[in-house]
Amino acid sequence: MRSASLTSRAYPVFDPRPANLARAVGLAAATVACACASLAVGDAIDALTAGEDVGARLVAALALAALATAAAVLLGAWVPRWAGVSRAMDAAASAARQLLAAPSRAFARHDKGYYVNVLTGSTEVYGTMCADLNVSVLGSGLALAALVAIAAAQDVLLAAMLLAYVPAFALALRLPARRLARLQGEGIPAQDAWLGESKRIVEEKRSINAAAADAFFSTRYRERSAGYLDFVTRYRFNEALIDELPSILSCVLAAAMMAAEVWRCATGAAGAGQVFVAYQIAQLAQAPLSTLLSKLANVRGNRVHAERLGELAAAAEEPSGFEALRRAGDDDDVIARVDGTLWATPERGGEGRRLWETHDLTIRRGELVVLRGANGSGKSMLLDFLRGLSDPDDLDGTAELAPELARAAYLTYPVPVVTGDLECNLLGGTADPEVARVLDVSGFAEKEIDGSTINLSLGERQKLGLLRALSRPEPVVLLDEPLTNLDAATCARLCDYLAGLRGRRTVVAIMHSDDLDAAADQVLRIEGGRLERVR
Amino acid sequence: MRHRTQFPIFELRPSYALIALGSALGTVLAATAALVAGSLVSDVAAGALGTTTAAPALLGYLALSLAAQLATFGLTGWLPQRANLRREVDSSERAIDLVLHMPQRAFVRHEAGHYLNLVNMASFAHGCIVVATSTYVPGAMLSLAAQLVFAALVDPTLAGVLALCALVYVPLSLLPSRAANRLQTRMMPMREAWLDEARRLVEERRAAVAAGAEGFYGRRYRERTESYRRWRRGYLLADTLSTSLPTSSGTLVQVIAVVACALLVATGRTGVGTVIAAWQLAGLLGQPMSFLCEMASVFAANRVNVGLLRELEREAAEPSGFERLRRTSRPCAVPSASTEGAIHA
Repeated sequence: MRSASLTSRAYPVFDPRPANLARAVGLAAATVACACASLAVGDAIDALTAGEDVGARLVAALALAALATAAAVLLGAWVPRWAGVSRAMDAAASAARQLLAAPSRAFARHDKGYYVNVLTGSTEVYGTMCADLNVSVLGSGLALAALVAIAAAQDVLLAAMLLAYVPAFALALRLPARRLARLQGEGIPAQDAWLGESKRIVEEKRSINAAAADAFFSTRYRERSAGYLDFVTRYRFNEALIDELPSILSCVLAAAMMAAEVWRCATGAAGAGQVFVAYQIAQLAQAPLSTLLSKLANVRGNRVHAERLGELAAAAEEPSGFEALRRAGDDDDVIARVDGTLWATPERGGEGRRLWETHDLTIRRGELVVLRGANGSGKSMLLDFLRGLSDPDDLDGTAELAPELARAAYLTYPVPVVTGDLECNLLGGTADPEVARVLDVSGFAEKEIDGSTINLSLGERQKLGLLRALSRPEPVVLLDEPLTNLDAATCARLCDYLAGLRGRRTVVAIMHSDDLDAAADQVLRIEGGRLERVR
Repeated sequence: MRHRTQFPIFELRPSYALIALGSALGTVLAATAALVAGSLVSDVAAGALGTTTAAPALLGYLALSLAAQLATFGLTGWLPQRANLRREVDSSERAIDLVLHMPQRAFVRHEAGHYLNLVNMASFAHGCIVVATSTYVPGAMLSLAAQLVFAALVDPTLAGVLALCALVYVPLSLLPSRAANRLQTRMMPMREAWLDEARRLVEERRAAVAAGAEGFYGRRYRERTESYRRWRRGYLLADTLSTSLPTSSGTLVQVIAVVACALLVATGRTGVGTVIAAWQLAGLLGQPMSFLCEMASVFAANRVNVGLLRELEREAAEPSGFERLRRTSRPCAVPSASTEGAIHA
């Protein structure tokens, strides 16, 4: 499967690089230090029983315990956590790049809440998964191996018991671990729905208040919350069970190991300290064993997040589908030729929405083309199609699109605004002085733009969008309702400017007025489901 | 009259009280099991346990420790966690209602990312604080008291030693938690900026691609990510110290208790069994003490979230400003609305 293979390549969960191996060894060293401290205490107990001096032994035990504490905090806790966070941040940066690179038809497969969740949630979980598998699981395995070796040094029987305990324990954890993995996959939609609902309410608050729909959305949010709570409760219970099962089962191991050493004591083969050490090894084995299995279960349960990231990486590598249409036609003068029926989506029949049909729509280089039609008739969809920001399967028919259309300057909506000055709001571009004069953006010079309607009127926002689009050097300019919200004087200057572009740049403008008709080479109209040239 | 907040930091509910009692019961059973293990070792050291008499003692220990672990899982672990989840979602629902009801002029003071942070992260942090103060803290204090009583039953000196050991946990936790709190407060704007940028990237993706501004958006997101990463590093270290040090220093505290008791054994005031009991009970101190110290750090680290939610509550209660413009009655002859004057941005 494509997404699965790319998941492993773009976002590998298993990553045995040297840095991770070093982190794993550090984690194991923390457990070993703790075991050494316990051995020292056991030795002190034997010495106390025998009436010997224990001063040096206790000092050694104290030093080892202090070392074990430092190792547990830094190597056992901090290093894996930071490894996970660092990886998550790297993944977030990659995912953002891929999101921007993905073609529109791939982006349209999910709603926006899904992508916000991928960028902020899935990347975080992915980072944790990587740290879990490559540091915690590996380190815990090494710690267990070290404990088996220490147990064997005390009594081979203890080591055998510990080794036998591991598979028995893993078997006991299989059921909750499987359930956890299943729940994770099932619960993601509930989580998405809940997060998506909060996002919708925050972003559409004004409209919700205007529609007096507060109660409706409040109730809906509670329904989504209930769904999420139901999922997360079941998920966390299984997670807690996996976390605690080691401690519960460790009682059996501790009793068995203590019994073995009690028997040895009774036969004079060991001291009371050995019983203590057996008990301690059984206790110390729990943390790495528990970590190993629970982290493995977490990795398995959270695989869906890595798959989501893999899917995004795959989407970024997908062709947009327009490549086949962007080829030089017979006529070098033609920039676009469309013949057929355009649909709103690739769905057909009852699921689909037919927009219009056209026969031999031809746009030539240097033309000024005006496109008219009622709201929702499919004008913007034509511009999206020309620019390659939709799905080529939306068209039933044939099309030839010049390669420069793929980079056409395009005024579309919403016009994004970032907090900062005008230069910052050119989004990496530079303003053309002539365009700036036409649009009269002198009011922006000293302005700190923050995107709120108080700070920036709709007309100013429109000017910003036009300044960006028209300042770009591309030979093709697509303008979706360029006169929207502009004052009369600016409209007039802009129309003169656009008329002046004829012969130098190709301009396709969606209009609701006849301001550009006189200067246009072609006027197209969508009416009654047909796109036709009317002049 | 003082306004009663929807976001208190402590709630007195019967269910929370029962959870706290259950949590203490789990610790009592664990302490009993620990003492039995200690007496087993003590008997072995004294040569009082033979191969035949050991079996029933070990089986008894097994049954008791199993019961203790099950109680720890169910009563100390799961029930408070379930209460936590419910309270987190409850806080989130309260926050979303406030967002819905707040006047527009108050709403526009912050970006959407701020509100998303409130209804998701801050609400969860608040739920966590409420359950911590209302169940974890009382439960941990009861557990601690129970352990000291158990220790006193074995040897009053042991209770004193354990009380001193418990105090060791306090500075170990509080010092890093202060740093974590300070860093988290300073990190919040970076986190919000990062979340906001992610939201912007998704929302404006089409417009960004249409404007050929993919590079600009990608660079901005990377900058926000790097800034957030730098702050997270420092915060994570402080947070790890405050959450892990109390539990990780368990062995150190146990050894300190053993050293103290070994001195008593050396002076002939008590037997070897007390050393084992000291080790076991000092080990159990870690759980309630880490709850208590964690509470201090959880509270300190998340206080800012409670503050943000209360600010939301205040802003939601603000008048919209239109009240004085709305007439209670109007003559039929006048229009629905009339405006005179200058409008400012």
